[in-house]
Amino acid sequence: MRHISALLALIISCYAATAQSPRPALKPGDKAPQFALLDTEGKTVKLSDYLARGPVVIIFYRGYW
Amino acid sequence: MQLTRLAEDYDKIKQAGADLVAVSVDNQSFGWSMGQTTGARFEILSDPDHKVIEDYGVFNAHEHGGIAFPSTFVLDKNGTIRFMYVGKNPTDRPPDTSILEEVKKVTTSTK
Repeated sequence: MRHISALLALIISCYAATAQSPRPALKPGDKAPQFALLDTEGKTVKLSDYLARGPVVIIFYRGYW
Repeated sequence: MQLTRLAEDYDKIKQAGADLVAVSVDNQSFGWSMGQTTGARFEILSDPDHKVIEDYGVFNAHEHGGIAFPSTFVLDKNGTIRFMYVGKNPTDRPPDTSILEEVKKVTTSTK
């Protein structure tokens, strides 16, 4: 009986871990997280490089499938 | 296609005094062909491990093995988020005119 309830608890905790959303969303007024990513030519591009030149619009798109 | 419309609006965003960068889980070569297809002159960045997409809280784990919700963030030159729009589904996007309006607000207030 103890094994069954332990198993049940494990199942529930696994489910809870997958069901929750990953992290709190950002909101206006927050600092944007820094990043460094590769562009299409394999060059590293940093957010800070952009900000050094002025305001930036970041677009996340789904990907082209 | 969002990037095609953005390619057309990119000049206006540049004229307003801001820059634009696009991010997706696509690999670099796909980004390159996207740039060719859409005529985009802004940089298309590759986030194959969706780390940045997760940092911004716009990761959609339930489609195609994990992609980004279509989202727009307007940052002022200090890196503070001044406007954001996160699509609720893969086709929910802000109109490009509203992006331009938000950009103008940011560039005029931080000059």
